[in-house]
Amino acid sequence: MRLISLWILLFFVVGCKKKTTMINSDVSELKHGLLVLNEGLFNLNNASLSWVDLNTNTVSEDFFLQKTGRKLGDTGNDLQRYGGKIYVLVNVSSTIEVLDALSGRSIKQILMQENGKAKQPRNLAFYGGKVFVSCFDGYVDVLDSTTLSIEKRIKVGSNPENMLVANQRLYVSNSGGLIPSLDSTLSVIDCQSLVELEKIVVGKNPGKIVALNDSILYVHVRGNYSSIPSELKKLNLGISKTQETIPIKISGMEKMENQLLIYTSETVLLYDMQKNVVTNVSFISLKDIITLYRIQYVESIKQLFVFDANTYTNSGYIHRFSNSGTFLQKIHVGLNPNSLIYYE
Amino acid sequence: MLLIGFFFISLTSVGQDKEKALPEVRIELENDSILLSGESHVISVKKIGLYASEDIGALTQKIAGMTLKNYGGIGGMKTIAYRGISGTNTAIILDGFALQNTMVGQLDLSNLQVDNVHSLTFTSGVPSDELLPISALMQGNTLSLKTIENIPTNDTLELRYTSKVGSFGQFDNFGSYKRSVSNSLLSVYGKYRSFSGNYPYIIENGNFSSTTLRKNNELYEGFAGINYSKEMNSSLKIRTSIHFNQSERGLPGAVILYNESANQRLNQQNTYGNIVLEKKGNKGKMNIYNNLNYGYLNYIDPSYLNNSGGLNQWYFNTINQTGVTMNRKIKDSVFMLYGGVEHTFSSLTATNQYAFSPKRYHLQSVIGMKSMLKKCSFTAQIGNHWLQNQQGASVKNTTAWTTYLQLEKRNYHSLLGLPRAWFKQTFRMPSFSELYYNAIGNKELKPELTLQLSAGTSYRLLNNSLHLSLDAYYNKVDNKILAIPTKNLFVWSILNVGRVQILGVDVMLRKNWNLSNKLAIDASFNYAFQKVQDISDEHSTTFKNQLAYFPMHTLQSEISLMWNKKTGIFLSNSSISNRYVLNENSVSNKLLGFSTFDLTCYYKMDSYKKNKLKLSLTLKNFTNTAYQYISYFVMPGRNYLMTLSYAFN
Repeated sequence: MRLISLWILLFFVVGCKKKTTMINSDVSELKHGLLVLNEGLFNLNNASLSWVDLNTNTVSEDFFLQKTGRKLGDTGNDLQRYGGKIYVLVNVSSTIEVLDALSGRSIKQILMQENGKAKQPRNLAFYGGKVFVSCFDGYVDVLDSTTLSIEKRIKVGSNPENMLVANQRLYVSNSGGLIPSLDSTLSVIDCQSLVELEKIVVGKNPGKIVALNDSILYVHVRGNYSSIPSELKKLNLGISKTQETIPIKISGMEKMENQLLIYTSETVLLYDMQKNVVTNVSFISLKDIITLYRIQYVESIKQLFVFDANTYTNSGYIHRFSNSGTFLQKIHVGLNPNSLIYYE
Repeated sequence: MLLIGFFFISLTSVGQDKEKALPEVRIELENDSILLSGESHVISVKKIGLYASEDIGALTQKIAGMTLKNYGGIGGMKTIAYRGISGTNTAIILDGFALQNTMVGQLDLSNLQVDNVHSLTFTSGVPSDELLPISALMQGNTLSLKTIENIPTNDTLELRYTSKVGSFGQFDNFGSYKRSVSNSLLSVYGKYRSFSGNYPYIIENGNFSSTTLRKNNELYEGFAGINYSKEMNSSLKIRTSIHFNQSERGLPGAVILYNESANQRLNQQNTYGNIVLEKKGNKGKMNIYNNLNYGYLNYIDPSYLNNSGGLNQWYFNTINQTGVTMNRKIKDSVFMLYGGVEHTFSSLTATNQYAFSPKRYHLQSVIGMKSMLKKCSFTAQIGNHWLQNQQGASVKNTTAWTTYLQLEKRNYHSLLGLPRAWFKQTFRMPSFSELYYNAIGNKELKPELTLQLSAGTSYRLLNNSLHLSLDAYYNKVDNKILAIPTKNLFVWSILNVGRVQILGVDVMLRKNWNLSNKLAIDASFNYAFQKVQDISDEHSTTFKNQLAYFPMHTLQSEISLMWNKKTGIFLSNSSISNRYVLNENSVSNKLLGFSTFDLTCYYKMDSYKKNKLKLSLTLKNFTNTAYQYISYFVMPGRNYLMTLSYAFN
């Protein structure tokens, strides 16, 4: 009997696990801070938003959970603000989370499914009240920013990713990341008629697109990460329609005014797009950065934010720099930070 | 009081983060349950029936020190790690023949059925008596299965039939025939099982929780086999067998919040054919064997977003082992020499989008010596690997030496019990997938090297009714092979980046009470403490953190009551403490521990002219605990299994 009663005791003590109690958001207002998207890791449902209060230098780890009472989902891919709304793309969960930009409260969750298949939203772009969402299933979805309904699906190339609006046209990188031969094209979509006008062949696995002006684009073509090298392409979309390869080693890039920040795991250099010259071969120190994942330039405060993925399986950091490359601050955030919104 | 102490250990260990100081024990038991002889753990046919495990994978978690990765009940993939060391270091032996998979390095233990298993023996170190294949002697650990169909018998005819009906559409039917005529034995068996797998589960999402049904989780699987053996004369025996299994299953995958689409499929077929000549003399034994494994795996993912409407990948794995293993007593001495040599050829043909077809030639040789003195035994072994990998124009040779030393006291001492200690180095070559898979394989990978040190003792107390056993160990893994993202989260590489150290204690205790001629009670407890730490880089965030999915504390406890040797109740519990889903031991990575309870009731009818019938009912997870071994791979709640077993023997 003693054994049986102890067993029962064991069951009750072990079986009645302490429930996690969610607390109301202690982020009362979104002012002077950073809203950071942490991508998380595949199949762990641990994408999250961190709120960094730059007044107190405190980080609220799970802002989305605090505001909505639920988790963001699996693999957050993009976070941007357009007007009074914040859009968060969650790739594997295949959702768009639309939040109020002032309060952070949820306005709508859009499930991105087509015939029972996940569309896998990847990146965002905006123009004329429209939200463009590149979906890994080979389409760009057009969302009305007022009604938050999907108005149209535009067929593009394979596995579209990064997008850019220039000269009333939407340029879409068709990476082909899930096909062995990779894609090599940019789709050009007219932002008024929402029709694909043409495809421009740029090189294997195109990614980030940057515009110097209406007719000059820079495209990072990533190759196949082994035999086909990663390259920076300059496209002249004017009458000459020429392309040239800029002979600089590249893993990623970000636009800062009229300059490009071109980075690898070893260095971040500065490239003047107007003069076509490298102006600084070591613009910021990477000494304290373990895994350089992305760089984002926030024009309103003229500061750079370097996302450190910390080997991709540990919680990451954001390193804040001035536009002259001076280190300002290191902020500990969530797993695989990849984008942020700055609040004044 | 010790039993009470153990219950309180489980109370404090499950659900807590930090290890507790624990009393130390170790065990030695008779042959109807978990048994230890030296470093061996045996689960016999009686206990296999009581556990009502769905496959060998689920059964192995009853062994102290075992960490099971269970991806979801019947049909869910199951892999093991023992004392913090990956299952790739464990040889799987079926009736004396090695089962291998050079594609991924370790077998999915959900593909091994339990219905005809007579005993499961797990040995850490080198198995003591049997002539095992050389590759098994070279491995860190051995999981050996003996089937009923291969057990020699005096009866001329044996028939068996088992039928199971369980929750969520589970139907199992197993039948076997065994016939002995003079010096030969012939047996055949077959099994078919199906499982709809649509069990309900609760998923918590922040402040919300919802109950939904597992989808795309069905399984259809068939097994068949034939064994034949003949004693040619008093010293020579020939034994051959063929085992076959084929399955088709849905892969439900991890539960993804807001996205319930899951439509991946997996079709598999495995055939094992083998033959051995067993020669025995007055001074020793010798086995000459050949073992052919052939299997394919077909993975289908219609939701993969490529241009051809999804993935349909085929992988064909062939392995052929030929070897000789022997032992021989040295004249007029207590020493015995043992050893042998084995050659393994393996190949993989992948017809996926990144077609590759590597080949491997692996020569393993071992020589060792055992001394069987009256008071102690001593074993020393040295082994060599020579290995060549070929893929296209790439040819790479590798050589490595391994050693094993063991010392064990043979006569019981009231204070020291039966102490033992051993040391072993092992070597694991990367699998074909790690070397060549798609764009992420790395053909420059070095072998993973493992060092194991173990010491322990066993006690028999209270008039031999209480058995205690304790082992402490230190293991270290160098050049640990890990898959890590390198370019971005979608581009991974396999690298030799890790160093891991493992400190642990295994404690086992068993007590039996024969309260009357009719009532017998038996209780046992296995507790394991393991600190599995990443020591790769002292500047890393994860330095000295517990590795992902290794619980620091596990407890297996059980109690059985048997009345009149015919009716019984068996209650068992598995408790696992908190784990982390990644190597960083942060709150956000924590996966809660759990405790599950199973209850089995059985009744054996009186034999009638060699006909035996047994009925049993198992209530699994009767507390309806929501739990996961792997994050978001949800396990079934409360479910039942009814078993009817018939035997003619």
